[in-house]
Amino acid sequence: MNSVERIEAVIALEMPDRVPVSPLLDHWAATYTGITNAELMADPEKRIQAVLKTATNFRWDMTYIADTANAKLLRIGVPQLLRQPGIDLPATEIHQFEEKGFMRVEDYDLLLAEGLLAFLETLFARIYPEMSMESTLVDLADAILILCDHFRRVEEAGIVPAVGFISPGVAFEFFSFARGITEFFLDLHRRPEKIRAAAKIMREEFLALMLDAISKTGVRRIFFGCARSSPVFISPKHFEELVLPDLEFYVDALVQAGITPWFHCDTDWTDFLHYFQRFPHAKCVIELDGSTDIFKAKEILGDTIVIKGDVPATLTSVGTKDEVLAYCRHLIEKVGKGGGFILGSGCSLPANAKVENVLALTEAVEEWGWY
Amino acid sequence: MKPGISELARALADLEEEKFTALFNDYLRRQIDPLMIVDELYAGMDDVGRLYKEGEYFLSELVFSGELFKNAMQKIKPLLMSTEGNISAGTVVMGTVQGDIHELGKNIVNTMLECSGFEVIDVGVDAPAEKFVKALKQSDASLVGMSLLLTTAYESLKQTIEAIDKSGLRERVTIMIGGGSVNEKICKQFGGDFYGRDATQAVDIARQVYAS
Repeated sequence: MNSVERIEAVIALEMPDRVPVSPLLDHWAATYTGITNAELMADPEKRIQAVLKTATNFRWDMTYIADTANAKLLRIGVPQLLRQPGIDLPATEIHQFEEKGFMRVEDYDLLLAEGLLAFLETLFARIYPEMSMESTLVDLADAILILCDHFRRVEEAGIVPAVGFISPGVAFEFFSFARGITEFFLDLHRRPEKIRAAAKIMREEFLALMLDAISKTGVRRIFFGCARSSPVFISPKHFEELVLPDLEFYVDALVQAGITPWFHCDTDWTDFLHYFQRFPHAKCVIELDGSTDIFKAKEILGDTIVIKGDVPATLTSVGTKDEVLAYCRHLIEKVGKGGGFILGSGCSLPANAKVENVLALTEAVEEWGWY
Repeated sequence: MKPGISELARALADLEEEKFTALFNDYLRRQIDPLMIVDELYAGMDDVGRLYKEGEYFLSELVFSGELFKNAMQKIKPLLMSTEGNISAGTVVMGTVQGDIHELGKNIVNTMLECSGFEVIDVGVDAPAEKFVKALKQSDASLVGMSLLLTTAYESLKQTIEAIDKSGLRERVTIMIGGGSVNEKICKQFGGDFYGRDATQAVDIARQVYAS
């Protein structure tokens, strides 16, 4: 099998010839290729060259195109203040977000009364006063054109692009960033009905945007960042009332459109894994970051969803190559048993990951990953 | 629900905001001894911590109850000025190490420490080693908490602990470390004394340090 066939088989929960390998690449592309993070984030050509060099040299089956370090997309898609290397931070540092709430409590009503565009226009004018809605839409269209070019170049290299679009995520996640976590958790207890109603409007309008983006990029997998809706943060009751309806809505609509929802789950999701059992067989991806019990995930979801992960950042950054190899081998033997597994990093490869440790992921699948 | 705690403490632990606010305002109106009110607030937060440890509560409940507690304490503080005695359980210096501006975890730990009677000196995010050392020198803190999410901040963590060593404060100060990129092994590797997996564990560590 080539990488395309291997990835198609594994997502369909059919047996590939071996476990595919695909770490989550963003800032480490800069580390490895010797460009700065400022360049990686702001210069699309340098970014894709760094991605291609990294993914090719490490013989990955599938790669992100470092779009989680694409400054233009981050400014449009994340409702928090971006601190960008080369502008707000030294050029060699990685980007971060400030946990400041820009969304006000009355903005739920704005979203309900006037819809998503009016809401986003108001919100982003507070975060980035220099950005207008017109300029944002132009930036988005421009960013998607660049994504299309980058995906084509990755595919020409024989590598599968991981996701065709990074979605803004479910409303719960979006609001938690926009309001700031403290204010949002107060809302959660004081006005859950308002959150639920606003989420309904948001998901219906965001869906159209997602379908449009995927139709343009042509890579039919879409990323959902899931972190603050995890059982670390909220109760099953809140999850069922305020998160699950969004997830079910998106999965139904996207799968029907032939698009694979890709759940990028940060923090420990072990206690909520059973909720993912309801999704259609072999139509989604769940990506774990090393906090969730991936072996439990195999038990609970192995017959439903392909599991991707989860070599921890602590291991790739300060562990030894032997430790990484042993960890990968264990994953391959347990989680990879019978297929349904992609070996990857736990969240992004950390910017200070050691080269030999990153190479260990590839060596592990090439040594022990064959079926 | 834990038996034997007051109605005010129970309302706080049950996250019944309206009832809690009404009871609290009634206490103030009746000029109840502020130290007694504080004790009841601590009892309520203690029960919140228990519910969290037992898996009934999650971070959202910790944050919500913590905000109710902090708002109540703000109203009581002026009344406490006129009372005698020190109600602080101890002082903890907290901060996110240099190179990392993530503050979510640190802030939740700060809230839970304050809700358990500790005074927190927050040196903020992206805090250089000198800032931690200065805060430790200027206070009587026996405990410092360092937070980090990024593995790229390991070097800062190391430098901060080295700076505390060099300052001569290490014998007096216990170091706890927490955050997304930390585990027990990383904590020991970089010279920490305790790894705090979550906010309630940080409170347990603080209690242990100040009990000894």
